Amino acid sequence: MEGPPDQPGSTTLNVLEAGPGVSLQDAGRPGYQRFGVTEGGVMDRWALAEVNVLLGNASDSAVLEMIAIGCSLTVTGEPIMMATSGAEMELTVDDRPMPWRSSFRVEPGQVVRCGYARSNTYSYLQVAGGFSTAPVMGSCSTHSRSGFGGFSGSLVKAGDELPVKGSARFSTQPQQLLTADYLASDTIRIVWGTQADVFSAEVRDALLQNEFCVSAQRDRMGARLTTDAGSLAAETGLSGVSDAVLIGDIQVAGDGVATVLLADRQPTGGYPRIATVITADLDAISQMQSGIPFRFELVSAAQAVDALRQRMHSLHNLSASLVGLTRQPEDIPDLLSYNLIDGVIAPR
Amino acid sequence: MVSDSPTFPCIVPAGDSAALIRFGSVLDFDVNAAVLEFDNYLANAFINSALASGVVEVTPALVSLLVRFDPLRVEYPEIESRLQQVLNLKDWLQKPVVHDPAHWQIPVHYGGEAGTDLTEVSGMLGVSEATAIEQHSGSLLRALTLGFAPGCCYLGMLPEAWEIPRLKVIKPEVPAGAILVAVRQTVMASAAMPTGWRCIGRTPLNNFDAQNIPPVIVKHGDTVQYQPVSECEFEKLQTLAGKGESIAKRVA
Repeated sequence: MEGPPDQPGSTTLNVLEAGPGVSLQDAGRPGYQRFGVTEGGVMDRWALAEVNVLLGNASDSAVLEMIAIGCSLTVTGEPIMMATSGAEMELTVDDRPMPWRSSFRVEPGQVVRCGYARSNTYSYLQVAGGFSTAPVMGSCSTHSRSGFGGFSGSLVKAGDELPVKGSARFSTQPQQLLTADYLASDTIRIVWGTQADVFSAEVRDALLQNEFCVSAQRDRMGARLTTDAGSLAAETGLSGVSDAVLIGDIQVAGDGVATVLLADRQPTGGYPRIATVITADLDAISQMQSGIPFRFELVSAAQAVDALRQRMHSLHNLSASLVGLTRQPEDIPDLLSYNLIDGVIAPR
Repeated sequence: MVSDSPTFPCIVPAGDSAALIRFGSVLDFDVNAAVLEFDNYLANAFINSALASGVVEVTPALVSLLVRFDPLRVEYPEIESRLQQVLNLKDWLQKPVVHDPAHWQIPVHYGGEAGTDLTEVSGMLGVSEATAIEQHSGSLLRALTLGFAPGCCYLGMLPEAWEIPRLKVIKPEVPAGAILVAVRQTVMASAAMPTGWRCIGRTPLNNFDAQNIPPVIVKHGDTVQYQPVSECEFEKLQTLAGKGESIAKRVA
């Protein structure tokens, strides 16, 4: 459904260019999997919280998600604060470089440009107050394959005018966050899956003893893995009867290749699933850069829950990590040559 | 983790925040009914009840049911114990009853361009196309589960002769409304999608509307009987469907 803006004539972001995977996403729509509707939502929930903390928005306000390639937009209406998070991209406002993972002020007519992701995969752009669109089944997340959610059910494209909520809280103080560790993770923790017993002990060992990479065959549904471990095929092949699928399930198709099922996964699956990535590491596996090796580490369910508890505790305290940028970045021409905060901004 | 042939129903942890209840390991009409009866019982039991505390979502599948929970609000042993208490109430696999199903008549145009595999399917069955249509539309089917895509419905069971294997090569796309068959089941596609099943017809019914609550017309446990219609009638009905008119006729 198309969401009318709260206030006609209020501020909009006009899209000049957009990469192929720009969409509005929030925390997703749990509760509809029984109707065949996948949960969806942002690929990186930590980044969703970050970008909203930077702007003082509600923590799950819908954001623009960009997959490896960014977009450029111009603002019409009132000046607004914007912020970025997730995979670091080259960011400019009217061609002036801006630090990533920070909030910044944009005047009407200025052009905000997000380039290519330098590392990792999913990047986020948000406006103070959030975007104005009507939720579908309790969520603003775009499910473009099914054509609902987001802006008219579609990916964001050049020419779109994205309405900003009129209730924007205007903060004049730009702020920044440190890059979190999960974006450079080389270990992904798992618990065995409900069908692990259809895999031989050798295959289960191979999952734990070998390095894996996310291949180029990846999207919001899942990430196919590459490895030198050889085939991970199950002994019995197709189970034939499908179960409901969990986010993070690692399924192995008949060709012996493992795929991690992610936010836009199919709701049911018939391929055997050897293991499940723990909830605390879902952002890390989703953001994993293609071709960078990592290992799986087996943990107990209790360890998985402890890890999640710690992560949620840190996430709820993100606002304590905000660092005020005392001057507008554009007033500091040589800003990017400073090692501003712990190497967050690489000198270029 | 490695289990000897388990007794059903059984509860196993799934990931760090879900429990999977298995009622069987192979598709069986009665086992599916047990899943649906248990799901219905949970839905009622969870209303305003401490039983539901910390539960995020319950998803029934063909012969299993997934209960997702928030592990920071409730721990797995507690969820398992609550579910085991419900399982202990009765022998769920003994004469399971699907409660309050709606019964639907749904038009299908069989064969031709709408069902390009009808000829092959009737060949596999060793009957004429007309007989295959008669058998398919003469079967009273149950919506066993929904999945794959929004509103996409799995119905069964077709007569034993319809134990047709899936295709070896995936078809890149069948249109919305495609009526697919394999392994004694029929899938009613709610959107254009790839499939490994054979396509024998097409219905003008779209079983998914994101703006409705619930967003589907045919839901779990409902019964369906297909009504063969001509190509001309199909097109007429599809135009009506496009205007938002209901295509599925509820007869009970």
